[in-house]
Amino acid sequence: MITGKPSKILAAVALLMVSAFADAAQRARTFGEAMEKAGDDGVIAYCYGPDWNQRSVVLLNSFWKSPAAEEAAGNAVMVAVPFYEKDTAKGAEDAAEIRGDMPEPPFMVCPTVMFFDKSGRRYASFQGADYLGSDDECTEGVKNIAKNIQALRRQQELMSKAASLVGKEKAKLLAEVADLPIEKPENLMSELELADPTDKLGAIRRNKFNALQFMYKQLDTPDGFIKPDFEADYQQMRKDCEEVFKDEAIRPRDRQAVYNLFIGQSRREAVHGNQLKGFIKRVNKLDDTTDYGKLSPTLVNLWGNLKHKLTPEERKAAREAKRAKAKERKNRKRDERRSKSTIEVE
Amino acid sequence: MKPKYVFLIALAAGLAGGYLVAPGLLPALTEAIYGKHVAENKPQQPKVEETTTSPEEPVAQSDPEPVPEPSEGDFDWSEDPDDGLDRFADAYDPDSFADGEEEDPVETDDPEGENITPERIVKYRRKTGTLGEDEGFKPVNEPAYTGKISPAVWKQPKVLKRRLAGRLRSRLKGVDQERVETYLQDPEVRLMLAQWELLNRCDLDALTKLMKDRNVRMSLSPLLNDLPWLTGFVYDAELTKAEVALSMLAHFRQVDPKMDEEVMMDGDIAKKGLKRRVAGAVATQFTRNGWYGEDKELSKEELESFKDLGYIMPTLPGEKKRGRNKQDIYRAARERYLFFAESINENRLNSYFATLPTWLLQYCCGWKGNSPFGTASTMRWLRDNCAAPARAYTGMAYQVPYLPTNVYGDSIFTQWYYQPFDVLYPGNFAKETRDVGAVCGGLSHFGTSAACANGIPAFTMGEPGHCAYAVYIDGEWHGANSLSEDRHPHWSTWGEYTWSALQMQTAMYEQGAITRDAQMVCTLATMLAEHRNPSNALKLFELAVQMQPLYQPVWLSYMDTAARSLGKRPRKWLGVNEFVCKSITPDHPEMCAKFLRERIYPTMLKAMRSPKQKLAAFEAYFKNININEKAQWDFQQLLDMQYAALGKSRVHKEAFMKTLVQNVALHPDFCQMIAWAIKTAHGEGKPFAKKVMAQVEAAVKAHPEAKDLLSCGVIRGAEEIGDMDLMNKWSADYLDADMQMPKFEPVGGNLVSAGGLVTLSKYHDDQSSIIRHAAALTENGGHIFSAFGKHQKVTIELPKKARIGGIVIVPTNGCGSYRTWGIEISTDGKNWKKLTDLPDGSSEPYIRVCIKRSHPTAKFIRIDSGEDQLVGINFKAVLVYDNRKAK
Repeated sequence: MITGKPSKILAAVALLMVSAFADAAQRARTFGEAMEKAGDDGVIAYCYGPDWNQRSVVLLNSFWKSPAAEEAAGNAVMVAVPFYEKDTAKGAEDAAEIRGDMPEPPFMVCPTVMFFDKSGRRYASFQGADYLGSDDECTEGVKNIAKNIQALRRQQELMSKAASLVGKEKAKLLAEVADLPIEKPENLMSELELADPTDKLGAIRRNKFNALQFMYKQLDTPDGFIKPDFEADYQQMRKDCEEVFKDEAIRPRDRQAVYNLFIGQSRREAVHGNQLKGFIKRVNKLDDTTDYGKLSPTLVNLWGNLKHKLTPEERKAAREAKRAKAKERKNRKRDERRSKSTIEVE
Repeated sequence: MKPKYVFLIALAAGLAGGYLVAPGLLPALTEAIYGKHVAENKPQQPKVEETTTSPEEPVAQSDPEPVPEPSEGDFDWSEDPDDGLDRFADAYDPDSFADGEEEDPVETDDPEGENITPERIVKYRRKTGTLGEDEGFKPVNEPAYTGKISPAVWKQPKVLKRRLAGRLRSRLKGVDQERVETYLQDPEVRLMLAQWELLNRCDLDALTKLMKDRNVRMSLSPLLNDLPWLTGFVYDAELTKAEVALSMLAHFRQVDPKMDEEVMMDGDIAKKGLKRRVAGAVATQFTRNGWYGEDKELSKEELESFKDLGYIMPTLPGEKKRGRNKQDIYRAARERYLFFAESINENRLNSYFATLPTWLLQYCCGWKGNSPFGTASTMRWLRDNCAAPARAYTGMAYQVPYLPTNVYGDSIFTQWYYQPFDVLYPGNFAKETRDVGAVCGGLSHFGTSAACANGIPAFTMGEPGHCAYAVYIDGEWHGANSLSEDRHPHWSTWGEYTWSALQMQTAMYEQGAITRDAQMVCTLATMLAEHRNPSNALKLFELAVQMQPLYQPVWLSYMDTAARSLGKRPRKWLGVNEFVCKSITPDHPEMCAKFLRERIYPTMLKAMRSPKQKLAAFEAYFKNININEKAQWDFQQLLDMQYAALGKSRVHKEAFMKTLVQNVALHPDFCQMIAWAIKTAHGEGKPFAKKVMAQVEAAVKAHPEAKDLLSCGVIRGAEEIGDMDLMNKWSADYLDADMQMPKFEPVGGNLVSAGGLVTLSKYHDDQSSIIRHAAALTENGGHIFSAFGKHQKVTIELPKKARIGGIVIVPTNGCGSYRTWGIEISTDGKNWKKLTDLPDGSSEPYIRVCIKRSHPTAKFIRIDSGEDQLVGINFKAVLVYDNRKAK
C-alpha cells in the first residue's frame, strides 16, 4: 500500500518525469552501505523472501534489477533486502548484515518497496500486486518509484526554500509539502503552526481534520458502536456537515466523507428519495474521481427511489425513538452529573 | 452480516471470466449423481479405450491411461476367495484388555503376558520401523505404488467392493498384531484397503450411476490406483458423500488436463502429485460441507448465529430466491481447485505449502467455499497482495481497520454496511473489507483467508463474544486476534469443535505412519464386521485403538462393537478405562473426560457395583494428567458424574476427594477442581466439608510450590458458597498487594468493606487474580477481574451491616465509559435497591460516590454492568465507607 496521499496531478507529472531522469541509480549490498552512499534521493529497499516467496525472487530479477527500475530510482541507492522465514535457510546467515537497522515493512508482506531519505526516515512504501502490477516487469511499481522519488525531490526543494522564508510565504510552501503524497517531515505541522498561527491558509485545518472522529462525535460513540438508544439531532447534524462540506480548505475526500454521514442519516430519517438524490449528487459534483464520488450513481440507484412513506415497523421505531428522546430529556440532569468522577447521592 | 450482493457479483464475474464447466462433463456428472438433471451436452473426452479383466466386461481393449494391464494372476475377479480366517477365528479372546487377574491376557507378541500399553506399542513400533529411535513418530510415507484395477472394473462398484473384501480376507493370515503388521507391509493390500474404505463411504447406487460414464472412469482411474493419493483422500479427513467428491474430482481432471504434471517448486523441489492432493482436499471439503448444491435455507437461529461472522448471505425478506442452473453445482469447488492449480504452476504460494501433508492441505484448500472470503477472485487478490512468511499471518487481520460503523453511519450489523461499496470491489470481498472496515469477524476472516490463499493452514474460531482465528506455524496452531483461551474452532477434522480436540487431532496426524496403520486396521475390522466375522472384527478394532489411541473414530467403532462383549465384567472395563486414561489423558484431559463421560462410563459404571472399583477407575483419570494448562473446559460434568456414581458411601466419597485434591496439588492449574470440591463438600454438611479442607491444607503443606493456585481454588470455592471466614483465612497472605492506588478525597467515615466477600457473576479463566479479591476491599488495592460477557456483576458482602457513607471504585486501567453501569445495595442479598449510575467517563483514575444525607443501611453492594453490552470487570479496588466519623 502507498503511505501518503494520492495526488492525481503529481502522478501525471511523475509519469512524464520517468524518462527525464538522467542519473543512474547506485546499488548497494547492505542497507548500511546504502545509507552511507545515500545522496538527496535517499535509499530504496526491495524486501523479498528468498526461502518462502518465489514470486518476490522472480521479481528481484525481472523488476528490481531492470534498467526501468534503475531509471525510475533516479540517484537513489537501491538495495535488495532478504527476509528469511527460517534462519537455517541457505543464504540466511548474511540476512542480518544486509538488513542492518532497516525497519520491517509496515506489514511483513513481500515484495515491499520501501523509501528512505538520506537521514534514514521512511517517507513511503508500497507492497503487493496492487502497487507493483501483475506483470513480471512491474510496470506499476516502476511508475510508483518514479512518483515517490519525484515527490521527495519536491519536498526537499520546498523545505529548502521555506527555510529562508517567514510568515505567509513560508506557510504556503509548507502547506504544499503537507499535500505531497509521501510522509510529511517530522516537524512540519509545528513549523506550519508557527508560520501561520491563525491558519489563514487553512492548511492546519486541512491536515488535522479527521473525518472518522467527526463522525463518531456526531453519532455520540467513542468506540464506533452506536448506542441502542442513540437518536441523532438531524438538523444539527445537517448544519455541522454542511459547514465542513463547504469548507474549501478541507480535502474533497474528507468533505465527501462528512457529507456521506449526513446522506446516511437522511436515509435513516426516511427523507424523500428525490431529496436524497440531490444530496448524493452534491458529493459527486464535488469530486467524481474519489471512491465516494464514483459511488454516487450506485447510491442514487440504491437509495434515490426510497419512498417517504414509513412502514409500520419504521413507524413503531420512530415512536419508540420519540419516547427515548423524552426519556433522555428527563435524564439529562443525571447525565450531566455522570460525566464527573464524583457522584453525589442524596 | 455480509449482504449477498458480493456473491452475486462474484458469480457474474466468474461466469464472465470463462470459468465455466468443461462442456458437457458437468451435465453428465450431475445426471449421474442427481438423476433428475438432464445432461445437455455430451462430454468432450479424448477418445480412449478401456481395458477390463472382469468377466462382466468382456471387451478387452487397449487403455491409453498409464494404468498397468492387470493379469489374471495379479488380480482374479472371477470368484470370491474364501474368507480364510475360520482356522483361527476361535482363538479370539474378547477380554484382551484384562488386568491379568481375572482372565488370561490377550495373545500378543509379549512373552511375559503383560497387557498392551502405549509404551509397549511405541516399543513395538520402533522394532517394526514405523517409529524412529530418536525422532519420535514417523510421518506417513506411503510407497509410490500404482494399482492394477482397470477403469472398467469400477463400472460395478458393488461387485468390486465384494471382491476386494474377498481378496483382502484371503491374504490375511491372522489377526494378531504381528501378522497384521506383516499384512500391512504389502502395498497392494494397503491400496485395496483404501479402495474398500472408499467404496464403503460411497452411496454405491449413486456411484454406479456415476461410473457408468466412461469419461468419469477414465478420469478417476489413475487416482483410484495411486496408493499415496488414495490413502490421503480416504483417511486424512472425514470423507462424507464420497461419490459426490469423486464426481468433482473427475470434473477437475477434465478442466485441468495437466493435473498430473510434475511441478517444480522453489527451484529444486519437485512436487509430484501435489495438484492431485489439492484436488482431493478441495473435493473432500466442498462435499463434506455441502458447498456444491442449492442454497441451504437457513433457520432464523442459524442466521442469527452466523450474523456476526459476516459471511452468510441470507435472502432478504421479499427478495426473489436466487435460482441456480446445473452449471452452478460445482462452480465454487472448480474455481477453488483452479486457483490452487494456477498458484502451484506459477509458484506463487508460500514454499511451506509444498511440504504440507494431506490433512493440512484440507485447511487451506477447503477454506470456506460458501463465503465471499473464499471466492477465487478474493483469494487471488490476497495471494498477490498479502504474501507473508507464515508467522506474519497472526497479525495480518490488523490490515483491516476495526470500524463498527461505516462512513454513512450505518452499523456493521445492518445490510447497508457493505452494500454501497460492493460495486467498487466486484468479487473481491477481502479488499472491500480492508478498505471499508469490519469488526472481529471480518478481521479474523481476512487473516484466515490471507493465510489459506498463500498456502498456510488457518481457520476461524469462536471465543466468548468474539471471533478469532488460528494459524499453523512450525507444527503448532497459534491463536490470532484472540482474546481468550476459551476457543471453539469453526473447522475440525471430525465433528469436535473444541481447541482440545484440535490439539488431539493434530497430535494424531503428526504420528502419521502409526495413525495410517491404525486407520487401515480399522478398515479391515469394519470389513470383517460386515462379512459376519464379528469376533475378529472386534479384535482388530482393539488392535487399532491400541496402535493409535488418539484416533477417535476407531474408538467409537470399537466401543460400539465391544460394549456387548465386555458386558458386565468390571475388571475388563477397568482395563479399558486404564488404557484410555493412560493413552489420552496425559496430553488431552478434556478429550479424555468427554470420551469417558460419553462412551465409557455409561456402560462401565453399570457393570461395576463396587465403589472401590469405581474409585480405581476414576483415579486412573486424575493420576494420568500430565499437562499444566488451565482447565478451561467444563470438567464439572465429569466430576459430578464420578461423584454421583459413588452413591452414598461417605468413605469412598472422602477417598475420591482425597485423590482429587492430591492430584490437583500435582497439577495446580486444575485448581478450579478444588473450588468444585469445596462446593460439593459444602453440600454434604460441615463435618465432610471440614475433612475436605483438611485434605487441601495437607496438600498445600506437601506442595508449597502449589500454594498460590490451590489458594485460588479454595477462595473461589469459598466465594461460591458464601463462606467469608474461609475466604479471609486463605486470602490473609495476599493482602499486601502493591497496586499503586491513586490518591482520592475521603467519601465517608470508616472503611467497612475490608474482610468482606467478593463474588463475580462470571469468573475469568485466569484464576490468579482471585487471591487478590480480599485485598481489593482494602485501601492497599488488589484485583477483581471477571471474564468477558454480558450483564456482569460483582457483589461485595460486607462483614456486617453498615450505614453507607460513600463508595470508591478504582478501575485497573483508568476510568473509561461506565455509561450503562450502576450500583445497587441490599440488606439481604435478595432485594436490591438502585443507589446510583456510574459516570460516562472521567479524567480521574477513580469513581467516588458520596452519599450526602440518606446513608442507607446495607450488607451487600452490587456493581452491575447493565444492558446487553459485552464487558469485563477489571477493578483494583471497591471500597465501601460508613457514615460515622472516621477513626
